[in-house]
This record gives sequence, C-alpha cells and structure tokens, in this order.
Amino acid sequence: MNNKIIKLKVKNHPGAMPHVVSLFLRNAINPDVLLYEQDRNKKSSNIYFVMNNNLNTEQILKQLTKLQDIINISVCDDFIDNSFSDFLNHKH
Amino acid sequence: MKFNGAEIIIKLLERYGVSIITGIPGSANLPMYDALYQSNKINHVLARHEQGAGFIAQGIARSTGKPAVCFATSGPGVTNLLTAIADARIDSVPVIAITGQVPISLVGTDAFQEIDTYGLTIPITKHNFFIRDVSELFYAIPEAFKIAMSQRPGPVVIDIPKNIQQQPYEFNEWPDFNIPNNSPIDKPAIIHIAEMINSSERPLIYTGGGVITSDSSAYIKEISKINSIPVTSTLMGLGSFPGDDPMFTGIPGMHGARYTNNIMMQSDLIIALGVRFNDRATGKVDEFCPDAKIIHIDIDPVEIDKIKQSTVSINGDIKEILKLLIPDLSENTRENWISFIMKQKEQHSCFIHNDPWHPSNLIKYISRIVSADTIITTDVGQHQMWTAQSYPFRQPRTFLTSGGLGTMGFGLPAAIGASIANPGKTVICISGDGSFMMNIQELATLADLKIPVKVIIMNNHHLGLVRQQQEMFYNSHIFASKFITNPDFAKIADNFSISGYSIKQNDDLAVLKDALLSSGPCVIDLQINHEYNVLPIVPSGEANYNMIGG
Ligand SMILES: Cc1ncc(C[n+]2csc(CCOP(=O)(O)OP(=O)(O)O)c2C)c(N)n1
Repeated sequence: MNNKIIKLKVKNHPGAMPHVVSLFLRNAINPDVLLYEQDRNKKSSNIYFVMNNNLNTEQILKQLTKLQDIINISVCDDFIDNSFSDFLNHKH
Repeated sequence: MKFNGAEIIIKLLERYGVSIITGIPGSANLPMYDALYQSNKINHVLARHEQGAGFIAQGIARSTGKPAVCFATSGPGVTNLLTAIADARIDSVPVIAITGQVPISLVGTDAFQEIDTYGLTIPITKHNFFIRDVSELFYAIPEAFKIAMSQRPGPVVIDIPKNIQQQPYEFNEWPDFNIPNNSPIDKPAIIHIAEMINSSERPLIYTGGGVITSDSSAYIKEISKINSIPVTSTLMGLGSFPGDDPMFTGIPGMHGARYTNNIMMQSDLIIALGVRFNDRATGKVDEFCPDAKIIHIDIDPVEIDKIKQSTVSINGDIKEILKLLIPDLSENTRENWISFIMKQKEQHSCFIHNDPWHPSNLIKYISRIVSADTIITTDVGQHQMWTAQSYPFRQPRTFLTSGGLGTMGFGLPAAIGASIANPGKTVICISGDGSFMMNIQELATLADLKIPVKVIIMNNHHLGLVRQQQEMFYNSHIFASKFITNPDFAKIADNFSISGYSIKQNDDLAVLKDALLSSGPCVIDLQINHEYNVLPIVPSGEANYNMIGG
C-alpha cells in the first residue's frame, strides 16, 4: 500500500514541533521518516513525515489543521518507495 | 509608555474586561501579583489549591460564556492546575491560565520549581505560549483571548518567565483585540437539511454542549415547535431545552431513561447539534440509531464523522446555521411520532420512586424549592447522574458539571466561580461525600467571600458509583469503595465559619428548605441510603437497548 507524505508549514519557533509530535501517539503515527527544516526567511519551518496509508488520514489532517502554529498542509499520496530524498529534491 | 512585563500583562487583562483573577502566588509569579496589587479594576480571589483556582475560573467561564483567568506559580503550582485545564479542554471551556516560570536564564537547568509547563500542557490546552521576550506579550495575550473564545472554545496557557515579568519595556500603543468572525456557512447544505427534516417521519433533535456555547437554545425551541420535533440532550447539553417541556425526552446513553434510548432507536433522522457522540451517550456506536440518517452540525470539523458517519454535515456556528434553517422548515404536527413519544414516556416513566428519601426525589424536592435560574454544579458519581436524570434544567448555563473528564472535586470551586460571576443568583453544589473531600479546602475561599453557595452532600459513606459498578459487574466484591471513617461535614463547615447542617434519613426536610433559602453559604450533610443504584444502566461497551433496571 502507498504511503503518504505530509508536509506542514509551521510558524518557526521551538514550540511548534512538539505540538505536531503530540498528535503522533494518539493517532498511532510512527513515521518512517521525519524531517524539520527552517525556511530561509526564518519565519516559517517545514515538517515532512511519511505516514502509513492505513491510518485515518482525514481525521489526522483535521486535527493538524486545528493546530494554531500550522500555516498550511499539503499531502502527497503517490509516494511509492522509500525515496523520500528524491521527493524532497523534486519539491524544491 | 513604559511598563514592566507584569504591568503590561495586568493592563492587557484589564483592557479585555477581566474583573476577577483567581490563583495562588509564589516566587515565579510574584511580579504579576505586585502589578495586580496596583490594579483597581481586577479583584483577586485567593484559592487554597491551584486546582481550586482552575475550577473557580471554570465556574466563571461556564456560567457566563466569557473567558476567565487564573494564576499559578511555576512547578507545583502548575502541576496542581493541570487537572482543571484538562477538564476545560475536554468540555470546551475558555479558561486562560497565566503561569509564572523560572527566569529564562535558568530554564532547562532543573532550577528550583522549574517544570516544563509548555510540554505538560500541549495535549490538554487548545493552545499554549512560552514567552521568551517581553514584546511577545503584545501578541500572545490578545491571541490567547482570541483562541480561547473563537470557534470551539478551550483553555490557553501562557507561561511567562519571571525576568520577563520584571523587564521594563517601552512602547507606543496597546494592541488591538477583536475576535474573528466564524467562517461563512454552506447555504446549499442548509436547504438540503431542511428538505431532510421536512420529509422525515421520526426526527429527533440531539443537543450537546455546543448548543449552549453557541447560545442557540431559543432557536432549538422554535424548530421543535414549528416542525414538532422532540429534543434529547447529552449531559453537557442539559439546559439547552427546558427539561419540563413535554417535547423533552431526556438524556440518552449509559444512564438515560428507557424511553430516551427507545425513542432514539426508533428515530429516522437524528439532528445532532454540537455533540461529539461520546461513548457514554451512544453506547456501542455501531448500534446507535441504526435506522436513522444523521445530520451533524458542529463548529469543530474534527468532530464531524469522528465517531459516527453523518449523512449530511455542516461545519459552522450552530446559531447562524439554525437562523438560516428556520425559514425553510414547514409546519408539521407529526401526530404519530409525537403520540409514540408520549406513550413511551408514560410506559417507561423512569426516575419515579416511592421512597421520598430516594436521591431522585430529594433532587426533585430541591428543584421545587429554588427558582429556575438557580445554577447547579455537581461533582462526579451517582449524585451527578441522579441530578442529570431528575433535575428539570430549564435554562442554559444553569447546569455545570464535569462531563468529559469526570473530575471529582469540580463541584465546590465551580460553584464558587459561578456565584462570583452571577451575583444575586443562588448556586447549589450537589456533591458526594467522596468528591467533596477532593477540594474541601475551598470552603475557606467560600468563607472569605461569604457568597450564597449551598453545598448539598449526598452522603452514602461510599464512593457510590464505584460501589455500584462492583455490585453489578464485579460479583459484589465491594472493595476500596466504602469509607472506613468520614468526618462530620456539618462540623467541618462550622470550623470554616460556614453554617453546617446534618439531615438524617426521614428527618424533617424543612431543614433543607430553610438552609437553601437562607442567605449566605452553607453545607448540608444529607444522609442517604447507600444501596440505591443509578438505573437504568447500559453496561460499558454495550448497545443502548441493553438497559438494566429502571
Ligand atoms: C479525580 C477522580 N478520581 C476517581 C474517579 C473515579 N470515580 C468516579 S465516581 C467515583 C465515586 C464518587 O463518589 P462520591 O463523590 O461519594 O459520589 P457518589 O457516587 O457516592 O454519589 C469515583 C471514585 C473520578 N471520577 N475522579
């Protein structure tokens, strides 16, 4: 089954990531890959993680949307193999 | 202008209309207390435990719908507050907790009374802030009010290191503050919903706490009347529709009346407003209203289709949606459905007991003595369920109970908060001898304030609801649920300078009446038979038609 890559643009501060990660346990998200990078403007950061496709994506996305530090969310669901870095290169 | 951080905090709170702060001072929040000392707009209520402060703030917020502020110091002050914050989160209560933190230079060093307040409160707040620079106060405080009040309300924590409270700061203007409007409403969906309601045969309105938050009770009454739709409420929705109206059909679920669960099972259209389909209400969810289509309206998109798949849903403010819906509803008398409902209510009339000392009868007795605007708070246990079943709540925000978290110890401090925020109204805390002990120290706060909070302890010398579960589901292994000793609550009250009354079974109830009608606070120790169970009961995890007893 295909996995999904979730990309979150968040406000850039040390407390943003913990809010995102706090949703992992309750939703049984155990990402294969998790990446955090600051944007050059230092105002926002991006969090990428690979999420197993059999999770309740819609519910998880709604919960993520409600986080106050999230600026926007995008989902890539035609992600087939583990070439996460390819994906990142492609997106940049 | 030049003020220090603490003064900025207090002045911003003043600007946002805060008139009461409850809390306990300590080293890390003393600068804020010093600024509060200088305020002539905000009064402080000194609680005796931070959990008490949190629930006093909740009592203010739940009874008024407005945000309420509490203060705690770092470390144990914060950990003591956590239960009240978690409780506010699950019941969507706008509480703003401002906590002192050790100076920023000591953060991360295991300094005295340092605790990771931000980390601890992530999962139990709607949002939280850690302030690193005094200038951030101008953003975080208005934002905290906005977040606490907008969309689905909830608690916000602002953690502020001591050095920032003390730091002078020069600035030109105060920040603006306005709560953003809710998002626009999906009009075609409203037309569709109106058609579904008009063409349904056995519709049922199912109201939750969201109806009270969005202040929609008047519209529910109107819809129920135009289209002859009966109304069922969750525990949190009680008061959203008059409990003594013939169209009211009780609370469903674990301790609902037989007729309520039967009526829900028969419905072909559930109009779910501001509910979250909690397991206590739905029973086994697959078998909840199996034949019904479901319309789900809620401000919080996460609630929609979280537990029960809706047929149609609208995400938005219930009040605005109902306003648009009403003109599209046709008049309907629904004779068959209404007569089915009336018959069910007659046949399965629950909560009627011969013993005048049955707790349900005592609660009905209380309801007849006091006025309709009396605010009732409860603790958690049998007394809470008997109150929910038998007290006819007639107005929104008159029933304050810890619904989602089920926190014993909620009742007394919440009653104090409600009384502070509603001068002139009587507030009654219906408690149990177990729960009352969990925040009994707040009797001292009550004695300070001398406000008309009446505590009625339904004293069964047990953790009654636990005893009931052990009797029914654990082979009557009554264990750790009977108190070996219990204090004399009337004497305890006396020692706090609060009038105490002891009423034994079959004493003259006039004592209760006189105590409730007297001015000032009191504690009434009302002895009840410990053998009574809350019935009917749906065993945990079973379908709502599997009711035992009642
Ligand atoms: C803080 C907390 N601890 C434990 C429980 C579990 N619990 C639920 S009801 C109950 C008994 C409550 O006893 P009491 O307040 O005397 O009320 P009664 O059921 O006897 O009316 C307990 C221990 C809880 N809800 N909250």
